[in-house]
Amino acid sequence: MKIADISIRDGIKKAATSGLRYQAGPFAVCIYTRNTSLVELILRFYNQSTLLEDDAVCQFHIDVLRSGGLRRFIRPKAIFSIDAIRPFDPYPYDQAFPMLEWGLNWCIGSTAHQYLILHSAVVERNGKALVLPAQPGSGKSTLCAGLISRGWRLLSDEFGIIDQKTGMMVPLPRVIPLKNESIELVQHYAPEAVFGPIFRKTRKGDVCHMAPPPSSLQRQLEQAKPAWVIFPKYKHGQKTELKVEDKGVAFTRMSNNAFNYPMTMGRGFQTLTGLAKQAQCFSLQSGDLDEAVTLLTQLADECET
Amino acid sequence: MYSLNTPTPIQCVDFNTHAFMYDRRTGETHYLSLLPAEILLLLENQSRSAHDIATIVAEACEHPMTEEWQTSIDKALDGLSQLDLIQQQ
Repeated sequence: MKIADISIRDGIKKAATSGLRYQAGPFAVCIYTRNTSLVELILRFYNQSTLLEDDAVCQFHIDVLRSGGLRRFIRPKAIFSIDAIRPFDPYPYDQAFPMLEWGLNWCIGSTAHQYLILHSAVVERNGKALVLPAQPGSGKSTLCAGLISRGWRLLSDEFGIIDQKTGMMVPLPRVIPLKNESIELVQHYAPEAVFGPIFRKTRKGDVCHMAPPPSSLQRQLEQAKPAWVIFPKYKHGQKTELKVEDKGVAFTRMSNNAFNYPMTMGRGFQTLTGLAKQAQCFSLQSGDLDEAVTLLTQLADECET
Repeated sequence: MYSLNTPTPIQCVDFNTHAFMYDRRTGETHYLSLLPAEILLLLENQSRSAHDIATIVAEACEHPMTEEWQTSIDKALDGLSQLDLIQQQ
């Protein structure tokens, strides 16, 4: 059963009682909340995700609560709670959705050590995965949004999840949080995509979420073999250029970029050196989204011919 | 005699011009040039003297066994000792 198969009313009821349980890539997530606009956004963005039974075992049980006391009438706050732990300061109540997404990132990055997890976008074309490890501000999400609007499948915008037994990339297709200038840029570049509301003045500036394509959600259990590791760097006015990256340097950059490399120990070392050896590694500098998307698509298609 | 401090088997991956070695004892990843990486692998099964190491590696690398070669091996051994990957008994 898909999330799309239930009504908004039923979704709101589930979230308020037994919890709204759905599949997010390899994870089962359960959300408890009475925040109806939050539930509506989950139902809208993840409509093609599998809805789980009310008694399904979930890795993450997340409460999104409304703050108590007198302040709840003046400036209500949303509180993120996992297993009765509140890891963050409360957010404005109307920013509950970005808070939930960032909170779920925190849960995955800090607990899912059965995987090696890179801070990276991952997309797939012709059965091969392109891994885009990057620092914040490098234009990773914008590039990822551009690629999926031109036929690439979204595996993840935030996590390069590697199955350490097989070396395959594990999908976790979720919304892409576009920030500040990239919101208008991507809305213009991909007018057919689905976008949520703009959350103004969050802790990361203005944020607008781009929905994962329905086909990516439908194929979220389909892993992909990594073929390319590309380190993107956006710089305004920069000529678009793809340079071969030394594999040792690529390994070092990925080990610094991984959320949990130290925790995964020798197995993580084996996984990451394997990825650096197996994939073609490049650095990409670009100041133009369309040029970057075209270049990467050509790279993928040339490998196919 | 030099011997390994790190548990065996060594996890060492060669990237053509250099190598990375994961030390299971400390959880550290070391970036090594090929010569020290080769020495570590040589010490994996048994302790050896600096002279033996220089001789065996010279043969493997098809390099003449000269005084300069021995000096470069000694330097590599010093470096590995400083990283606490090997010890001198």
